Amino acid sequence: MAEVERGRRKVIHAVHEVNPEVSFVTDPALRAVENKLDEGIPLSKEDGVALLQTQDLHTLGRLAKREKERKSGNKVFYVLNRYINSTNVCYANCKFCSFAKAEKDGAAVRMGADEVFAKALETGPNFNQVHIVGGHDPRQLSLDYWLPLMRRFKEALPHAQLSLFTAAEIDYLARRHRLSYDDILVQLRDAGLDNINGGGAEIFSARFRKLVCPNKVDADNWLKVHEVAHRVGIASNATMLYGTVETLEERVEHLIALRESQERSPGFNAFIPLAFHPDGNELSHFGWTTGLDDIRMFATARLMLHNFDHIKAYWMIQGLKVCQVALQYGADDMDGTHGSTDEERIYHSAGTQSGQYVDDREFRRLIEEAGYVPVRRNSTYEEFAYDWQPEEALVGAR
Amino acid sequence: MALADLLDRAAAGGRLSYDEGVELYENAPLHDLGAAAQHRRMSLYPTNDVTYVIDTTINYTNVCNVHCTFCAFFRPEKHGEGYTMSHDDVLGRVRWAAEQGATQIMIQGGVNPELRLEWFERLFARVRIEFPEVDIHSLSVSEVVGLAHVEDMPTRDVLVRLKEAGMKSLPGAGAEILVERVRKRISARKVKPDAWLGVMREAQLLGMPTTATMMFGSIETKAERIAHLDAVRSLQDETGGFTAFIPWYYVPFKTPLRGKESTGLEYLRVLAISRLYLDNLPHLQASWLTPGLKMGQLALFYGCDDMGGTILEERVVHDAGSTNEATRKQLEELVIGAGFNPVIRDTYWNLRPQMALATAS
Repeated sequence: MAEVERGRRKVIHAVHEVNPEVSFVTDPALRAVENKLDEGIPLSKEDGVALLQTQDLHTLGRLAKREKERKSGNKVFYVLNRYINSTNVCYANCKFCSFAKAEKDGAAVRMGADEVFAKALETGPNFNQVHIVGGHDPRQLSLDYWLPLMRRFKEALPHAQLSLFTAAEIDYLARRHRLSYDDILVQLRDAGLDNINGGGAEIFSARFRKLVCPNKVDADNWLKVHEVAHRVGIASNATMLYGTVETLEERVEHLIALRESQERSPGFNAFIPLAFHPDGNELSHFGWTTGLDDIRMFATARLMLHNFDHIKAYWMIQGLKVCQVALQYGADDMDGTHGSTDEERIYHSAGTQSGQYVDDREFRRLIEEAGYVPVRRNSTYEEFAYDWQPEEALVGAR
Repeated sequence: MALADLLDRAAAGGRLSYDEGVELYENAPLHDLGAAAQHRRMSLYPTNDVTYVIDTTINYTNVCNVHCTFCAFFRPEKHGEGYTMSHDDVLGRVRWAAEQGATQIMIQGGVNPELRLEWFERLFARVRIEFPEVDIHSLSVSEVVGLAHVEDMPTRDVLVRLKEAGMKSLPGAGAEILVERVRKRISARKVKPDAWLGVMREAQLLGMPTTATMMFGSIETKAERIAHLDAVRSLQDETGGFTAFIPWYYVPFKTPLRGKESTGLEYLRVLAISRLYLDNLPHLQASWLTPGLKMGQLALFYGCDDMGGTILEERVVHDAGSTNEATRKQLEELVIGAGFNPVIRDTYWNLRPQMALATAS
């Protein structure tokens, strides 16, 4: 019976050793943040850094959830889309990248225009967005490739918005064709460009870019491309690649630069935090971001970016589980389904465990379970019934 | 009673009734539920320590006559893919694990009617003699009941003999959901809820501590999850023999039952309500193996004070399509990254500060 006593004593010991001094873990920095939010005062850099470090995850969540609901009420968005990497030929040599290949590399994939078009229609025409990004490919990244392809998409699939390129690719195109951002963006707009993807932002800090992506568009020009695009009537998104050499201050400065840009030339719809993936690149030693990093990043973005309508939790990046949890930490968008035969290669070459495709019914289940109403959208957040389909005549165009 | 009052009471360690548990679980906002659970956890263990055990699971046989529909691991008797390890094979795996610093060995498998009690007695005796430093935390209730059938003797007598052979404690597996309606659908041939609790009671009264698990996310309702917590809590009131509660969710890929995988939010809610409802259970374990390391870290903010085991070798969950693996270093880094101190423990929550942390080297 001594052993019974021992087992029992262990339990009683644990349960009665309650320390009445311990309160809910509360972070005074969040109280100050809450007051600012109530008064509509933009958060400072110091506030942002405090948010990224807080242990008070539940107060952080309450605040971020409240701001999300102020922006988008009870809606959480997703898009039926097609995702294509048209080329992985790239000579920018960014250190975080596992995707880029030299032209002569056996693993180089460069799709012809017909191939891209066919790929988009592989699983039928019922989608509201074509999302294409590629490398700085000296052959493919050219107006004579893209303008005809864009017009072809618009003619065959007027219901699908074109969400093409990142600012890095636009900058490359402009330099290649010796055109100003204004001139190139007007040409792209006239050919049907609806939205510029948010990639290529990485971390704006000059220190970071010099270390990690010296051959890519610099921060001023990244912002300028988006600001000009907004002025000529093209919408866009913004991203940040977190989890490598950047400091927390640099993350927050990045968010502040975005929010100032949005003041100067509004047109960003969503901010998308991109977690670094470590497989097969020169920054592998930084490893994976953690669940806590991810959640704090979503919440901090929601609270810092008062003039952004949407914070996106992209399932492919942080995983479906964390992205669903993010809906309680400020995110209001799960991005796109991708087509079931699409093959995303940027994050998959860097080791993501996410699949290639998420059924829209799965999005709806996850969103409803989080207590929100799932809303199907396109790139510019026009809403569609969940069972919306393009008309017969358009389907015939394939 | 208002949700806020229920949360305050539960956060202070007060008892929730079944109805109150259902009410909180179904209706409390996530952050309120999480904050209350975290408050309770920090009150119990104000030191910021998060423990884990270096362990291995040895699935000695996949032959099983219970045939649960949620399981992708077992093979029926006479199936070509069935296997049973030799004693030497098991001992080799124990040796390998002990060399990695394991202090806990979980020898668990199917309910294989070919294996007699004496097979286990000889195996455990060898482990005890050759590796006295490892604790044999082995066999689930189902296997004990299976042995009782084979030997035609009471389960208590089986436990007495296993204990004499060196088995020190039982993992809480096979509990699934301790509600008859659910078990009829997912594990019709497994022991009934009362029998599971009965064997646990016998073991605990014999001085063998046990854990308790819950497999959620198959076909049970939310209220049935609370009924499960209630059954565990009642037995704990009686015996005090449970060391920890370990909720994990059903992995539907490759199983006959199929269905949807549970979600990130559901996992966090289950953890929080478990911490609040089980006012008499000392520890709540994060089961990072199925939800992944990211969710395993977030669990530390929803009431968990323990990261479970390193599980150097495991086959049951992997066969159902789960791919997460963790090294000690990764586990410790997650704990440190969340602002806690990783501490190595043994099966019985004796801390082992003399064992070096993987992050220390």
